[in-house]
Amino acid sequence: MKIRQQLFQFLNLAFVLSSAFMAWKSLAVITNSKSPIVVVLSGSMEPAFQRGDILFLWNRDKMTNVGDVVVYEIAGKSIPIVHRVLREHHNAQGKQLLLTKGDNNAVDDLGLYAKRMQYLDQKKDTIGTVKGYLPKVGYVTILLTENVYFRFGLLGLMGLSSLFSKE
Amino acid sequence: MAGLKKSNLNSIVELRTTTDDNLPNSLSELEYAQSFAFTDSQLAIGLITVSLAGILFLLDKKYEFDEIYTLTVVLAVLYFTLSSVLYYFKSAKNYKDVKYIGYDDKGNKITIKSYSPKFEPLYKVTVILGDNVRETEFDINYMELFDAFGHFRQDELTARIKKEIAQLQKK
Amino acid sequence: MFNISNRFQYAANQALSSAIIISTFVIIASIAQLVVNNAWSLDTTSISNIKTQTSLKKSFNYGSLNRKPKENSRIQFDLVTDLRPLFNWNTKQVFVYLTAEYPGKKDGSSNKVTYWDKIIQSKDDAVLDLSRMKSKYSVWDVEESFREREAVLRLEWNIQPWIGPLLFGSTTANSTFTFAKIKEAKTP
Repeated sequence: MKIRQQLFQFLNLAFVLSSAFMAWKSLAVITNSKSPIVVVLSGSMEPAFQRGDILFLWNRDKMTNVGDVVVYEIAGKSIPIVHRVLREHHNAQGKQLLLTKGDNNAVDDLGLYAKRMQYLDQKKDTIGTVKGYLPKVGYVTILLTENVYFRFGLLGLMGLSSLFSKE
Repeated sequence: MAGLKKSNLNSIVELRTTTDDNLPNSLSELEYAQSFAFTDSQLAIGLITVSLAGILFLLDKKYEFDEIYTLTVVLAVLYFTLSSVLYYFKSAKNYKDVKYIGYDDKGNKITIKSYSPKFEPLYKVTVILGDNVRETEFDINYMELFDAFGHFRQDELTARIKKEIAQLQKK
Repeated sequence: MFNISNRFQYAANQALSSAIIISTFVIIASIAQLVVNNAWSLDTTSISNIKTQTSLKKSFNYGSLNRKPKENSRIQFDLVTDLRPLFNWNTKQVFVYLTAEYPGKKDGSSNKVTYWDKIIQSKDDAVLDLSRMKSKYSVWDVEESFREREAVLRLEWNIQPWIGPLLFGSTTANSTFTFAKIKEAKTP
Protein backbone atom coordinates (compact mmCIF):
# COMPACT_ATOMS: atom_id res chain seq x y z
CA MET A 1 0.00 0.00 0.00
CA LYS A 2 2.74 2.44 0.96
CA ILE A 3 4.68 1.61 -2.18
CA ARG A 4 1.64 2.44 -4.32
CA GLN A 5 1.42 5.85 -2.73
CA GLN A 6 5.08 6.46 -3.38
CA LEU A 7 4.71 5.34 -6.98
CA PHE A 8 1.82 7.75 -7.45
CA GLN A 9 3.91 10.56 -6.03
CA PHE A 10 6.75 9.64 -8.37
CA LEU A 11 4.31 9.55 -11.30
CA ASN A 12 2.99 13.01 -10.46
CA LEU A 13 6.48 14.44 -10.60
CA ALA A 14 7.36 12.45 -13.72
CA PHE A 15 4.22 13.72 -15.45
CA VAL A 16 5.17 17.34 -14.80
CA LEU A 17 8.57 16.83 -16.42
CA SER A 18 7.52 14.45 -19.20
CA SER A 19 4.50 16.45 -20.31
CA ALA A 20 6.66 19.55 -20.73
CA PHE A 21 9.13 17.53 -22.79
CA MET A 22 6.40 15.87 -24.88
CA ALA A 23 4.67 19.21 -25.51
CA TRP A 24 7.97 20.57 -26.85
CA LYS A 25 8.46 17.49 -29.05
CA SER A 26 4.89 17.69 -30.36
CA LEU A 27 5.45 21.32 -31.30
CA ALA A 28 8.63 20.23 -33.08
CA VAL A 29 6.65 17.61 -35.02
CA ILE A 30 3.83 20.02 -35.89
CA THR A 31 6.21 22.73 -37.15
CA ASN A 32 8.64 20.15 -38.58
CA SER A 33 11.43 22.06 -36.89
CA LYS A 34 13.82 20.48 -34.41
CA SER A 35 13.83 23.72 -32.46
CA PRO A 36 10.45 25.44 -32.98
CA ILE A 37 11.09 28.24 -30.50
CA VAL A 38 14.46 29.98 -30.36
CA VAL A 39 15.96 32.74 -28.26
CA VAL A 40 17.96 35.41 -30.10
CA LEU A 41 21.57 35.36 -28.90
CA SER A 42 23.31 37.90 -31.13
CA GLY A 43 22.70 41.44 -32.28
CA SER A 44 23.16 40.78 -35.99
CA MET A 45 19.47 41.38 -36.75
CA GLU A 46 19.11 44.55 -34.69
CA PRO A 47 16.99 46.57 -34.45
CA ALA A 48 14.43 43.96 -35.54
CA PHE A 49 15.53 41.32 -33.02
CA GLN A 50 17.51 41.94 -29.86
CA ARG A 51 19.22 39.53 -27.52
CA GLY A 52 16.65 37.66 -25.46
CA ASP A 53 13.75 38.01 -27.90
CA ILE A 54 11.77 34.85 -28.65
CA LEU A 55 11.09 33.68 -32.19
CA PHE A 56 8.51 31.12 -33.30
CA LEU A 57 9.56 29.04 -36.29
CA TRP A 58 7.73 27.12 -39.00
CA ASN A 59 9.48 24.66 -41.28
CA ARG A 60 6.76 23.33 -43.58
CA ASP A 61 7.00 25.99 -46.31
CA LYS A 62 8.14 24.41 -49.60
CA MET A 63 9.80 27.66 -50.66
CA THR A 64 11.26 30.53 -48.70
CA ASN A 65 10.75 34.07 -49.96
CA VAL A 66 13.29 36.82 -50.29
CA GLY A 67 12.83 39.00 -47.19
CA ASP A 68 11.87 36.08 -44.93
CA VAL A 69 13.95 35.65 -41.81
CA VAL A 70 15.29 32.09 -41.52
CA VAL A 71 17.16 30.19 -38.84
CA TYR A 72 19.92 28.01 -40.25
CA GLU A 73 22.61 25.73 -38.97
CA ILE A 74 25.77 24.88 -40.86
CA ALA A 75 26.85 21.25 -40.45
CA GLY A 76 29.81 21.17 -38.07
CA LYS A 77 28.98 24.57 -36.56
CA SER A 78 26.48 24.04 -33.80
CA ILE A 79 25.23 27.61 -33.32
CA PRO A 80 21.98 28.39 -35.14
CA ILE A 81 21.96 31.75 -36.94
CA VAL A 82 18.92 33.99 -37.51
CA HIS A 83 19.30 36.04 -40.73
CA ARG A 84 17.24 37.46 -43.58
CA VAL A 85 17.09 35.91 -47.07
CA LEU A 86 18.76 38.20 -49.60
CA ARG A 87 18.47 36.02 -52.72
CA GLU A 88 16.78 32.79 -53.68
CA HIS A 89 17.21 30.54 -56.69
CA HIS A 90 14.95 27.56 -57.24
CA ASN A 91 14.14 25.02 -59.92
CA ALA A 92 11.03 23.08 -60.87
CA GLN A 93 12.04 20.12 -58.69
CA GLY A 94 11.73 22.30 -55.57
CA LYS A 95 15.43 22.57 -54.83
CA GLN A 96 16.08 26.05 -53.50
CA LEU A 97 19.32 27.88 -52.80
CA LEU A 98 19.43 30.84 -50.42
CA LEU A 99 21.87 33.62 -49.68
CA THR A 100 21.32 35.28 -46.31
CA LYS A 101 22.46 38.42 -44.49
CA GLY A 102 21.99 39.92 -41.06
CA ASP A 103 20.22 43.30 -41.16
CA ASN A 104 22.86 44.75 -38.87
CA ASN A 105 25.82 43.21 -40.73
CA ALA A 106 27.65 45.05 -43.49
CA VAL A 107 28.10 42.03 -45.73
CA ASP A 108 26.23 38.85 -46.63
CA ASP A 109 26.80 35.51 -44.88
CA LEU A 110 29.32 33.95 -47.32
CA GLY A 111 31.95 34.20 -44.59
CA LEU A 112 29.72 32.36 -42.11
CA TYR A 113 29.03 29.38 -44.35
CA ALA A 114 31.32 26.39 -44.64
CA LYS A 115 34.40 26.67 -46.80
CA ARG A 116 33.62 27.03 -50.52
CA MET A 117 29.90 26.95 -49.71
CA GLN A 118 28.08 29.61 -51.74
CA TYR A 119 24.44 29.04 -50.83
CA LEU A 120 22.26 27.49 -48.14
CA ASP A 121 20.14 24.52 -49.16
CA GLN A 122 16.61 25.46 -48.08
CA LYS A 123 15.73 21.83 -47.19
CA LYS A 124 18.95 20.75 -45.58
CA ASP A 125 20.33 23.78 -43.79
CA THR A 126 17.37 25.77 -42.48
CA ILE A 127 15.68 24.93 -39.19
CA GLY A 128 12.71 27.14 -39.92
CA THR A 129 11.29 30.48 -40.99
CA VAL A 130 10.47 33.09 -38.34
CA LYS A 131 6.71 33.60 -38.17
CA GLY A 132 6.09 35.11 -34.74
CA TYR A 133 7.88 37.37 -32.32
CA LEU A 134 7.80 37.88 -28.56
CA PRO A 135 10.08 40.53 -27.09
CA LYS A 136 12.55 40.06 -24.22
CA VAL A 137 10.92 37.05 -22.51
CA GLY A 138 13.78 34.75 -23.47
CA TYR A 139 16.26 36.81 -21.51
CA VAL A 140 15.65 34.46 -18.56
CA THR A 141 17.34 31.62 -20.44
CA ILE A 142 20.31 33.84 -21.30
CA LEU A 143 20.62 34.74 -17.61
CA LEU A 144 20.32 31.05 -16.70
CA THR A 145 23.09 29.95 -19.04
CA GLU A 146 25.41 32.91 -18.62
CA ASN A 147 24.95 34.16 -15.07
CA VAL A 148 26.01 31.82 -12.26
CA TYR A 149 24.47 33.89 -9.44
CA PHE A 150 21.10 34.01 -11.14
CA ARG A 151 21.15 30.24 -11.71
CA PHE A 152 21.98 29.36 -8.10
CA GLY A 153 19.59 32.02 -6.80
CA LEU A 154 16.72 30.52 -8.76
CA LEU A 155 17.65 26.96 -7.77
CA GLY A 156 17.76 28.06 -4.13
CA LEU A 157 14.35 29.70 -4.37
CA MET A 158 12.86 26.56 -5.94
CA GLY A 159 14.38 24.43 -3.19
CA LEU A 160 13.04 26.70 -0.47
CA SER A 161 9.54 26.79 -1.96
CA SER A 162 9.42 22.99 -2.16
CA LEU A 163 10.39 22.86 1.52
CA PHE A 164 7.57 25.17 2.54
CA SER A 165 4.80 23.82 0.34
CA LYS A 166 2.75 20.80 1.27
CA GLU A 167 0.89 18.65 -1.21
CA MET B 1 -0.75 3.41 15.01
CA ALA B 2 -2.70 6.19 13.38
CA GLY B 3 -3.69 7.55 16.76
CA LEU B 4 -0.14 8.65 17.52
CA LYS B 5 0.05 10.99 14.57
CA LYS B 6 -1.35 14.46 15.00
CA SER B 7 -3.06 16.28 12.17
CA ASN B 8 -3.32 20.02 11.73
CA LEU B 9 -6.97 20.73 12.53
CA ASN B 10 -6.90 23.91 10.44
CA SER B 11 -6.00 22.21 7.19
CA ILE B 12 -8.92 20.51 5.47
CA VAL B 13 -6.52 18.95 2.97
CA GLU B 14 -4.53 17.32 5.75
CA LEU B 15 -7.65 16.08 7.55
CA ARG B 16 -8.98 14.56 4.35
CA THR B 17 -5.65 12.91 3.50
CA THR B 18 -5.39 11.38 6.96
CA THR B 19 -8.95 10.10 6.76
CA ASP B 20 -8.39 8.69 3.25
CA ASP B 21 -5.23 6.94 4.50
CA ASN B 22 -7.15 5.31 7.32
CA LEU B 23 -10.15 4.26 5.26
CA PRO B 24 -8.73 0.78 4.47
CA ASN B 25 -8.21 0.13 8.22
CA SER B 26 -11.90 0.65 8.90
CA LEU B 27 -12.93 -1.58 6.04
CA SER B 28 -10.62 -4.38 7.02
CA GLU B 29 -12.19 -4.20 10.49
CA LEU B 30 -15.51 -4.65 8.70
CA GLU B 31 -13.98 -7.74 7.03
CA TYR B 32 -13.56 -6.42 3.55
CA ALA B 33 -10.44 -7.27 1.55
CA GLN B 34 -9.04 -4.44 -0.50
CA SER B 35 -8.65 -4.95 -4.25
CA PHE B 36 -5.84 -3.12 -5.96
CA ALA B 37 -6.75 -4.04 -9.55
CA PHE B 38 -8.00 -0.54 -10.42
CA THR B 39 -5.12 1.24 -8.69
CA ASP B 40 -2.55 -1.07 -10.20
CA SER B 41 -3.84 -0.67 -13.74
CA GLN B 42 -3.72 3.09 -13.30
CA LEU B 43 -0.17 2.81 -12.03
CA ALA B 44 0.80 0.56 -14.92
CA ILE B 45 -0.63 2.92 -17.54
CA GLY B 46 1.10 5.82 -15.79
CA LEU B 47 4.47 4.09 -15.73
CA ILE B 48 4.20 3.07 -19.39
CA THR B 49 3.27 6.64 -20.35
CA VAL B 50 6.17 8.15 -18.47
CA SER B 51 8.62 5.62 -19.87
CA LEU B 52 7.49 6.46 -23.44
CA ALA B 53 8.66 10.01 -22.75
CA GLY B 54 11.87 8.63 -21.24
CA ILE B 55 12.56 6.52 -24.34
CA LEU B 56 11.99 9.53 -26.62
CA PHE B 57 14.30 11.59 -24.45
CA LEU B 58 17.11 9.06 -24.85
CA LEU B 59 16.51 8.67 -28.59
CA ASP B 60 16.50 12.44 -28.91
CA LYS B 61 19.97 12.63 -27.40
CA LYS B 62 21.29 9.95 -29.71
CA TYR B 63 19.73 10.75 -33.08
CA GLU B 64 18.97 13.78 -35.22
CA PHE B 65 15.42 15.11 -35.39
CA ASP B 66 14.93 14.10 -39.05
CA GLU B 67 16.11 10.52 -38.47
CA ILE B 68 13.48 9.70 -35.84
CA TYR B 69 10.66 11.94 -37.07
CA THR B 70 8.10 9.15 -37.63
CA LEU B 71 8.98 7.46 -34.36
CA THR B 72 8.57 10.78 -32.56
CA VAL B 73 5.09 11.19 -34.03
CA VAL B 74 4.11 7.67 -32.93
CA LEU B 75 5.47 8.12 -29.40
CA ALA B 76 3.83 11.55 -29.00
CA VAL B 77 0.43 10.22 -30.13
CA LEU B 78 0.72 7.22 -27.76
CA TYR B 79 1.81 9.47 -24.89
CA PHE B 80 -1.12 11.82 -25.24
CA THR B 81 -3.63 8.98 -25.79
CA LEU B 82 -2.53 7.20 -22.61
CA SER B 83 -2.45 10.50 -20.70
CA SER B 84 -6.03 11.20 -21.67
CA VAL B 85 -7.05 7.69 -20.58
CA LEU B 86 -5.51 8.42 -17.18
CA TYR B 87 -7.14 11.81 -17.11
CA TYR B 88 -10.48 10.10 -17.81
CA PHE B 89 -9.99 7.80 -14.81
CA LYS B 90 -9.15 10.80 -12.65
CA SER B 91 -12.06 12.97 -13.70
CA ALA B 92 -14.94 10.92 -15.15
CA LYS B 93 -17.95 10.69 -12.86
CA ASN B 94 -17.69 6.92 -12.36
CA TYR B 95 -14.03 6.93 -11.38
CA LYS B 96 -13.53 10.31 -9.77
CA ASP B 97 -12.52 10.38 -6.10
CA VAL B 98 -12.55 6.57 -5.77
CA LYS B 99 -10.52 5.86 -2.63
CA TYR B 100 -11.27 2.25 -1.92
CA ILE B 101 -12.44 -0.85 -3.77
CA GLY B 102 -12.83 -4.13 -1.90
CA TYR B 103 -14.77 -7.37 -1.64
CA ASP B 104 -16.32 -9.15 1.33
CA ASP B 105 -15.89 -12.94 1.83
CA LYS B 106 -18.94 -13.64 -0.36
CA GLY B 107 -17.37 -11.64 -3.18
CA ASN B 108 -19.66 -8.63 -2.96
CA LYS B 109 -18.01 -5.50 -4.22
CA ILE B 110 -17.82 -2.25 -2.27
CA THR B 111 -16.57 1.08 -3.67
CA ILE B 112 -15.95 4.17 -1.57
CA LYS B 113 -15.48 7.67 -2.90
CA SER B 114 -14.68 10.72 -0.85
CA TYR B 115 -13.87 14.40 -1.15
CA SER B 116 -14.01 17.60 0.90
CA PRO B 117 -15.40 20.95 -0.15
CA LYS B 118 -12.79 23.69 0.01
CA PHE B 119 -14.15 25.71 2.91
CA GLU B 120 -16.29 23.24 4.88
CA PRO B 121 -14.84 20.76 7.37
CA LEU B 122 -16.86 17.89 5.91
CA TYR B 123 -15.78 14.46 4.73
CA LYS B 124 -18.25 13.71 1.95
CA VAL B 125 -18.49 9.97 1.37
CA THR B 126 -20.26 7.83 -1.21
CA VAL B 127 -20.61 4.10 -0.55
CA ILE B 128 -21.53 1.91 -3.50
CA LEU B 129 -22.45 -1.76 -3.13
CA GLY B 130 -22.02 -4.03 -6.13
CA ASP B 131 -21.66 -2.42 -9.53
CA ASN B 132 -23.82 0.65 -8.98
CA VAL B 133 -26.57 -1.51 -7.49
CA ARG B 134 -27.10 0.48 -4.32
CA GLU B 135 -25.41 3.63 -3.23
CA THR B 136 -25.62 6.21 -0.50
CA GLU B 137 -24.05 9.58 0.12
CA PHE B 138 -23.38 11.06 3.53
CA ASP B 139 -21.23 13.68 5.26
CA ILE B 140 -19.08 13.25 8.34
CA ASN B 141 -17.92 16.35 10.17
CA TYR B 142 -14.20 16.25 10.83
CA MET B 143 -15.01 17.32 14.41
CA GLU B 144 -16.30 13.77 14.91
CA LEU B 145 -13.32 12.09 13.24
CA PHE B 146 -10.58 13.96 15.12
CA ASP B 147 -10.23 14.83 18.78
CA ALA B 148 -9.22 18.25 20.06
CA PHE B 149 -5.51 17.39 19.73
CA GLY B 150 -5.76 16.28 16.11
CA HIS B 151 -5.61 12.54 16.77
CA PHE B 152 -7.60 10.45 14.32
CA ARG B 153 -10.46 8.42 15.78
CA GLN B 154 -10.59 5.21 13.77
CA ASP B 155 -13.54 3.76 15.71
CA GLU B 156 -15.81 6.67 14.77
CA LEU B 157 -15.14 6.14 11.09
CA THR B 158 -15.58 2.38 11.31
CA ALA B 159 -18.84 2.74 13.23
CA ARG B 160 -20.26 5.28 10.80
CA ILE B 161 -19.38 3.24 7.69
CA LYS B 162 -20.74 0.08 9.32
CA LYS B 163 -24.04 1.83 10.02
CA GLU B 164 -24.35 3.15 6.46
CA ILE B 165 -23.57 -0.26 4.94
CA ALA B 166 -26.12 -1.92 7.14
CA GLN B 167 -28.79 0.59 6.08
CA LEU B 168 -27.87 0.12 2.43
CA GLN B 169 -28.17 -3.63 2.67
CA LYS B 170 -31.66 -3.34 4.15
CA LYS B 171 -32.93 -1.44 1.11
CA MET C 1 -5.09 27.67 3.47
CA PHE C 2 -2.85 29.91 1.39
CA ASN C 3 0.89 29.84 1.77
CA ILE C 4 3.56 31.81 -0.07
CA SER C 5 3.99 29.43 -2.98
CA ASN C 6 0.22 29.18 -3.51
CA ARG C 7 -0.06 32.93 -3.64
CA PHE C 8 2.91 33.17 -5.98
CA GLN C 9 1.45 30.52 -8.30
CA TYR C 10 -1.90 32.28 -8.32
CA ALA C 11 -0.27 35.63 -9.12
CA ALA C 12 1.87 34.08 -11.85
CA ASN C 13 -1.16 32.41 -13.45
CA GLN C 14 -3.12 35.65 -13.39
CA ALA C 15 -0.20 37.58 -14.90
CA LEU C 16 0.30 34.98 -17.64
CA SER C 17 -3.34 34.79 -18.67
CA SER C 18 -3.80 38.55 -18.72
CA ALA C 19 -0.61 38.92 -20.77
CA ILE C 20 -1.95 36.42 -23.30
CA ILE C 21 -5.32 38.19 -23.53
CA ILE C 22 -3.72 41.63 -23.92
CA SER C 23 -1.23 40.52 -26.59
CA THR C 24 -3.94 38.71 -28.58
CA PHE C 25 -5.94 41.92 -28.55
CA VAL C 26 -2.91 44.00 -29.60
CA ILE C 27 -2.13 41.63 -32.50
CA ILE C 28 -5.70 41.45 -33.82
CA ALA C 29 -6.32 45.19 -33.48
CA SER C 30 -3.05 46.19 -35.16
CA ILE C 31 -3.58 43.83 -38.11
CA ALA C 32 -7.15 45.09 -38.48
CA GLN C 33 -5.78 48.63 -38.61
CA LEU C 34 -3.35 47.66 -41.38
CA VAL C 35 -6.20 46.14 -43.40
CA VAL C 36 -8.25 49.33 -42.96
CA ASN C 37 -5.24 51.36 -44.14
CA ASN C 38 -4.95 49.19 -47.30
CA ALA C 39 -1.43 48.14 -46.34
CA TRP C 40 -1.52 45.22 -48.77
CA SER C 41 -2.36 47.33 -51.81
CA LEU C 42 -0.16 50.42 -51.49
CA ASP C 43 -0.26 52.19 -54.85
CA THR C 44 1.83 55.27 -54.11
CA THR C 45 5.08 53.73 -55.29
CA SER C 46 6.96 54.33 -58.51
CA ILE C 47 10.28 52.82 -59.57
CA SER C 48 11.72 54.55 -62.62
CA ASN C 49 14.81 55.65 -64.52
CA ILE C 50 16.51 52.27 -64.12
CA LYS C 51 20.06 51.94 -65.39
CA THR C 52 21.98 48.69 -65.21
CA GLN C 53 25.62 47.81 -65.35
CA THR C 54 27.36 44.44 -65.41
CA SER C 55 30.97 43.70 -64.64
CA LEU C 56 33.20 40.67 -64.09
CA LYS C 57 34.54 39.75 -60.65
CA LYS C 58 37.02 37.12 -59.58
CA SER C 59 36.67 37.23 -55.79
CA PHE C 60 34.85 34.60 -53.72
CA ASN C 61 33.02 37.48 -52.03
CA TYR C 62 31.49 38.34 -55.43
CA GLY C 63 30.28 34.85 -56.21
CA SER C 64 33.35 33.54 -57.98
CA LEU C 65 34.74 30.06 -57.33
CA ASN C 66 38.34 29.25 -58.21
CA ARG C 67 38.84 32.76 -59.61
CA LYS C 68 36.55 31.96 -62.50
CA PRO C 69 35.12 35.30 -63.79
CA LYS C 70 31.57 35.91 -62.52
CA GLU C 71 29.11 38.49 -63.79
CA ASN C 72 28.01 41.01 -61.18
CA SER C 73 25.12 43.38 -61.72
CA ARG C 74 24.43 46.79 -60.24
CA ILE C 75 21.57 49.17 -60.94
CA GLN C 76 20.64 52.79 -60.43
CA PHE C 77 17.04 53.84 -59.89
CA ASP C 78 14.60 56.54 -58.85
CA LEU C 79 12.14 55.57 -56.15
CA VAL C 80 9.10 57.40 -54.79
CA THR C 81 6.97 55.78 -52.11
CA ASP C 82 4.81 56.52 -49.10
CA LEU C 83 4.94 53.73 -46.53
CA ARG C 84 3.21 55.60 -43.70
CA PRO C 85 0.14 53.28 -43.75
CA LEU C 86 2.44 50.48 -42.54
CA PHE C 87 3.09 52.25 -39.26
CA ASN C 88 0.84 51.88 -36.25
CA TRP C 89 1.30 51.35 -32.53
CA ASN C 90 2.50 47.76 -32.97
CA THR C 91 5.07 48.52 -35.69
CA LYS C 92 8.62 48.31 -34.42
CA GLN C 93 10.26 48.77 -37.78
CA VAL C 94 9.58 48.36 -41.48
CA PHE C 95 12.16 46.67 -43.64
CA VAL C 96 11.74 47.73 -47.31
CA TYR C 97 13.61 45.96 -50.04
CA LEU C 98 13.86 46.27 -53.79
CA THR C 99 13.81 42.86 -55.45
CA ALA C 100 14.37 41.72 -59.02
CA GLU C 101 12.77 38.51 -60.25
CA TYR C 102 13.92 36.76 -63.42
CA PRO C 103 13.53 33.30 -64.95
CA GLY C 104 16.14 30.56 -64.72
CA LYS C 105 17.51 28.24 -67.38
CA LYS C 106 14.77 25.61 -67.34
CA ASP C 107 10.99 25.83 -67.12
CA GLY C 108 9.80 26.28 -63.57
CA SER C 109 13.07 27.64 -62.30
CA SER C 110 13.18 31.19 -61.05
CA ASN C 111 15.42 33.64 -59.24
CA LYS C 112 14.82 36.58 -56.95
CA VAL C 113 17.54 38.90 -55.73
CA THR C 114 17.71 42.01 -53.54
CA TYR C 115 19.38 45.13 -54.93
CA TRP C 116 18.64 47.56 -52.18
CA ASP C 117 17.04 47.62 -48.74
CA LYS C 118 16.40 50.01 -45.89
CA ILE C 119 15.26 49.84 -42.28
CA ILE C 120 12.65 52.47 -41.41
CA GLN C 121 12.02 52.94 -37.71
CA SER C 122 9.56 55.80 -37.60
CA LYS C 123 6.57 57.05 -39.51
CA ASP C 124 8.36 60.37 -40.10
CA ASP C 125 10.94 58.61 -42.25
CA ALA C 126 8.41 56.55 -44.18
CA VAL C 127 8.07 58.85 -47.20
CA LEU C 128 10.91 58.12 -49.61
CA ASP C 129 11.91 60.17 -52.61
CA LEU C 130 15.21 58.87 -53.95
CA SER C 131 16.74 59.86 -57.22
CA ARG C 132 19.67 58.19 -58.93
CA MET C 133 19.98 55.83 -56.00
CA LYS C 134 22.71 53.23 -56.39
CA SER C 135 22.01 49.60 -55.55
CA LYS C 136 23.33 48.54 -52.16
CA TYR C 137 24.44 45.09 -53.30
CA SER C 138 26.49 43.74 -56.14
CA VAL C 139 24.36 40.90 -57.44
CA TRP C 140 25.49 37.68 -59.10
CA ASP C 141 23.46 34.76 -60.40
CA VAL C 142 23.82 30.99 -59.89
CA GLU C 143 24.81 30.91 -63.56
CA GLU C 144 27.97 32.56 -64.82
CA SER C 145 26.07 35.13 -66.89
CA PHE C 146 22.83 37.10 -66.70
CA ARG C 147 22.36 36.47 -70.43
CA GLU C 148 20.55 39.80 -70.93
CA ARG C 149 17.42 38.37 -69.40
CA GLU C 150 14.52 40.58 -68.41
CA ALA C 151 13.85 41.15 -64.69
CA VAL C 152 10.88 42.58 -62.80
CA LEU C 153 11.62 45.06 -60.02
CA ARG C 154 9.30 45.26 -57.02
CA LEU C 155 9.32 47.14 -53.76
CA GLU C 156 8.44 44.76 -50.93
CA TRP C 157 8.09 45.30 -47.23
CA ASN C 158 8.24 43.43 -43.94
CA ILE C 159 6.67 44.79 -40.78
CA GLN C 160 8.51 43.80 -37.63
CA PRO C 161 5.96 44.16 -34.80
CA TRP C 162 6.57 44.87 -31.13
CA ILE C 163 4.73 41.60 -30.55
CA GLY C 164 3.07 39.08 -32.87
CA PRO C 165 3.52 37.71 -36.38
CA LEU C 166 5.99 39.12 -38.92
CA LEU C 167 3.98 40.61 -41.80
CA PHE C 168 5.02 40.70 -45.44
CA GLY C 169 3.67 42.46 -48.50
CA SER C 170 4.50 44.13 -51.77
CA THR C 171 3.58 47.51 -53.21
CA THR C 172 1.66 47.43 -56.47
CA ALA C 173 4.44 49.06 -58.46
CA ASN C 174 6.58 46.97 -60.78
CA SER C 175 8.95 47.91 -63.54
CA THR C 176 11.13 45.82 -65.80
CA PHE C 177 14.70 46.11 -66.99
CA THR C 178 17.09 44.00 -69.00
CA PHE C 179 20.45 42.98 -67.57
CA ALA C 180 23.16 44.92 -69.37
CA LYS C 181 25.87 43.29 -71.43
CA ILE C 182 29.25 43.29 -69.82
CA LYS C 183 30.93 46.66 -69.55
CA GLU C 184 28.84 48.39 -72.18
CA ALA C 185 26.56 49.89 -69.59
CA LYS C 186 24.31 52.74 -68.47
CA THR C 187 21.24 52.43 -70.73
CA PRO C 188 18.86 49.47 -70.59
